[in-house]
Amino acid sequence: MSDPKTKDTTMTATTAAISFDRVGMAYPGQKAGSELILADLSLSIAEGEFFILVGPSGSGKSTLLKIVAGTQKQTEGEVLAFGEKINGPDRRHGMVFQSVEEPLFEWLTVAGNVGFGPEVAGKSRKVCREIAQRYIDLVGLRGHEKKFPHELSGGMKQRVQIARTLAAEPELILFDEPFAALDALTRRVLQQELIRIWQETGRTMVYVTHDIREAVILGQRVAVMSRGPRANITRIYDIDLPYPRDDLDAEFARSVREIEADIEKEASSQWQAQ
Amino acid sequence: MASAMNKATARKDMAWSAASVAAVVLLWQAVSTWFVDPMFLPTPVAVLQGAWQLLLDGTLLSSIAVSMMRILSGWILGSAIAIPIGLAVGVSRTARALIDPFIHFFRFVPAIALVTLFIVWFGVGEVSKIILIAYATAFIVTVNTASGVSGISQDKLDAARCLGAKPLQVFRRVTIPASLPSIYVGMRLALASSFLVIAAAEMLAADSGLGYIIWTARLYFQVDWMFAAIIVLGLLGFITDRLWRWAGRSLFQRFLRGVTGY
Repeated sequence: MSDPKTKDTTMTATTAAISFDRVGMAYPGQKAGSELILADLSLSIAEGEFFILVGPSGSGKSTLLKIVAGTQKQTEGEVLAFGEKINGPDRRHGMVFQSVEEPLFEWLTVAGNVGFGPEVAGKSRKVCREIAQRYIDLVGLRGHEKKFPHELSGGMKQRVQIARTLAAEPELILFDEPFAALDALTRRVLQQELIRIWQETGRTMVYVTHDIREAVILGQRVAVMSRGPRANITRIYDIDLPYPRDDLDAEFARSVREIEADIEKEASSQWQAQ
Repeated sequence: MASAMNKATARKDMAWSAASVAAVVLLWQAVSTWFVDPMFLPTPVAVLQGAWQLLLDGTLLSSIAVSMMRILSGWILGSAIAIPIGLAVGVSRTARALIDPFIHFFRFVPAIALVTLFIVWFGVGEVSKIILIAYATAFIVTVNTASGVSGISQDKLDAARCLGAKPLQVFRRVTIPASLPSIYVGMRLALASSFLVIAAAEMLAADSGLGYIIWTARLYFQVDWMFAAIIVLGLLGFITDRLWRWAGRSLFQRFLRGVTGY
């Protein structure tokens, strides 16, 4: 556990995968200076880090991800990814969506979906196939290459999304509650798989969830966000537990409880303020 | 995936449909034999005889050919114009603002109201009829295409962009394939309205076609010819619709997963 401000100064000294500098975000359709979803948010995420964002709903977690993905633009402050300003969506900032059905291209096979990134990058058919196969194997979908999304279970569809995002060879990957719509068992399996994939690929991962147990299973750092408007990061927890993590471990339970208490306090203080 | 049970249910459905058609024809035979003057409602047998007559002198086949040619050319022409417009309207706010008023105005001007105007403009030949069908087709297909495009989920478009697709690539590789189900359904609906329009057009200004048979039969008081042409029109519509459904299921199956079975 550390104070977010001191953490920030220490992190910016090294190369940050993502850095937010006093970022503010107005509600859509409103100009800067009016009421903000996010306000004065500063944050630095190191290269190769597995970073988790938790917080009550309406805290702007998804907004933060969309700013990094480039599908939305902050109205105040500066956001850098690997030292560069974010200028619209880009294959370097991959995104795995919560929705199981919508993000996949239902007219393409698993191989076609996963090969989409290399294909739009202009790679040859053969190279696309090779890249697709590599990531299909990585997410454990070998043998399902020729299937269409409607022939897959929810968990398999999310594996396709992860493989497809990896195949575009991003520098960092954003996850917007990717397992929230899945059943508990599938979710546990995919959490372990994701840790393995992270360890094998070494990519920077930013993962939004409202499931605190999931946050502590996955993350090296867990940031708790306050409820909006003017949401911000209230605290960042370091989770110094070895992977794979044991959720029956006393240390694990202590972290979960601590974060949970923090979020509950955050939610109830908002109620009192209203 | 077509299991034995599916085939059995399909056969059962087919049997029910056949029985229902047979019952209606029998009822018609009974009504026209015992209750109604056959001058006004000829029996099915008399209609078959009338159709046979028209078939023998060549009128029926040539009329079918002419009417189908007009319908299909107009339908294809109308769709070819409508699909790009619908895509543009669905994708671009500016295009929508520019084109929307016209779409929602002319959409309510029925093609039949324009028959005489089109004859004045394009003559009594094939052109006026094909343009009329194209007109009737175009609005249905445009509206369906545009609504298909605007119904594409933002996640799907964002996913493509986050994978590195440039705007033109998103359009070609996501927008078009994702709106194919709506285009397909729009064309199916437009096909039905093409049949509606062709009958009217051929009654007012034509010397051939199924509508022409229906219209001229009154001069000879050949009600059986009218019935023959009406039934052929219905059958042709039924068959083309089935063919379009078959095409959807076999040729573009991978794109049309979202289209319902009916």
